[in-house]
Amino acid sequence: MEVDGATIGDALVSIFLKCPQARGYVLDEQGVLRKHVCIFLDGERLANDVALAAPLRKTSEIYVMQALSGG
Amino acid sequence: MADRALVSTRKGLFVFRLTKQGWTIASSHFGGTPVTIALHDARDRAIYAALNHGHFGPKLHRSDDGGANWVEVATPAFPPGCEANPTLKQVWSLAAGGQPGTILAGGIPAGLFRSDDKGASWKLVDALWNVPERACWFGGGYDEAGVHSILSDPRDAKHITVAISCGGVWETKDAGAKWHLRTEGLYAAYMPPEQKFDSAIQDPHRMAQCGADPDVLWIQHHNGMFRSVNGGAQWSELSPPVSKFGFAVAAHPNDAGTAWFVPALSDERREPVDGRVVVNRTHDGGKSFETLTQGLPSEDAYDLVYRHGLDVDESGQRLVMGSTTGGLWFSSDSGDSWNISQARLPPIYAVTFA
Repeated sequence: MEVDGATIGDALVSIFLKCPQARGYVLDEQGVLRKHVCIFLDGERLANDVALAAPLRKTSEIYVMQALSGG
Repeated sequence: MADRALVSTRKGLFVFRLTKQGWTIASSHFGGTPVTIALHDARDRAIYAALNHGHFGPKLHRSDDGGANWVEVATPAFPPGCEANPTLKQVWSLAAGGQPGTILAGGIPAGLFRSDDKGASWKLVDALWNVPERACWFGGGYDEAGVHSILSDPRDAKHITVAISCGGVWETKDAGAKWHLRTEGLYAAYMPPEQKFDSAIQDPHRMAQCGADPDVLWIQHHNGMFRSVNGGAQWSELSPPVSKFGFAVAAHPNDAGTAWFVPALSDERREPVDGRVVVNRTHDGGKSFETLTQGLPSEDAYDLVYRHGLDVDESGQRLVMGSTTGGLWFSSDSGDSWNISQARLPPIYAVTFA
């Protein structure tokens, strides 16, 4: 999906407006990135505690990935 | 008698049906995803399944057609600004209560949630979350305290009793506006002596209610079994054989003197005593017990039955029991004898007739 936003958090909000159900899969009810979800920005993995505030370029590419979890 | 059972496991929900070939898997759902608890609401025949995705957190699904189709409904959630900013880790208990369509959910952390629209929306029961004693609660089984038993009084929907590990037994008579501890007679052998009788640190592993005599409650506690005949105002300790430790208890729906417990060795060794899976049954209110063994593993068994791993149907004759090593047993004679399912199941979190 292509969305606008100054930060990853902004971009996610744009996505959640189009797909409200996605919010609870990526963020918990307090708005925190879920523990076992990780975000890559332009090929670089971001730490969960700073990911949502990370600034975007006009052509930034974001991957929201499932971190390895359980067996 | 019930001929369908819901088995919640680490890798999906399994619907078992009783056929001429015995209890067999009729369908499976949410493959690979942990299902922490399921509920069949007899009032409208809806089935609820609480999922706990490894990556995406807890979710709740409902089926209105016996499991053929599922719809994801809202997940119980702590509201923004809620004291301590908690995040729901899992739905640990589900119960039907109040009007048809009203569902109660217990969480980890120990929030109690209510839906009046079959899960379309949820509201935290603030008054229980805000009791001052919550500061004393701590995790039992999981890192944080949780609500695992929710009893809705069939005579009065405003009367609800919940049990929390580790946070005691709480009762409301006004649909959740005010809550009171109900732990007189319980004790905590795992605490320093000065706190042994503190109410808000008691660890009732599971609490069950006699449907026909709702003042009769049973508890499998961390360090003993207890029974109350006055709705939890006073608890009396029982003296079962094999072991006082365990997680599961089921109450006979019509006979206030009958209940079943599944003993385990100890909190330090959560496995059957001597490698034998057994069930303790009382018919006389806990004055005496029989240890039931027919059809259950008699050696080399390491099955632990979790707190939601035992259920009895509305007749009091059929029982289902599931273990952490995927053992699943059914009884049609009140536990006198058991038959094991041949399915090699994932670890079982919860079983319920439906």
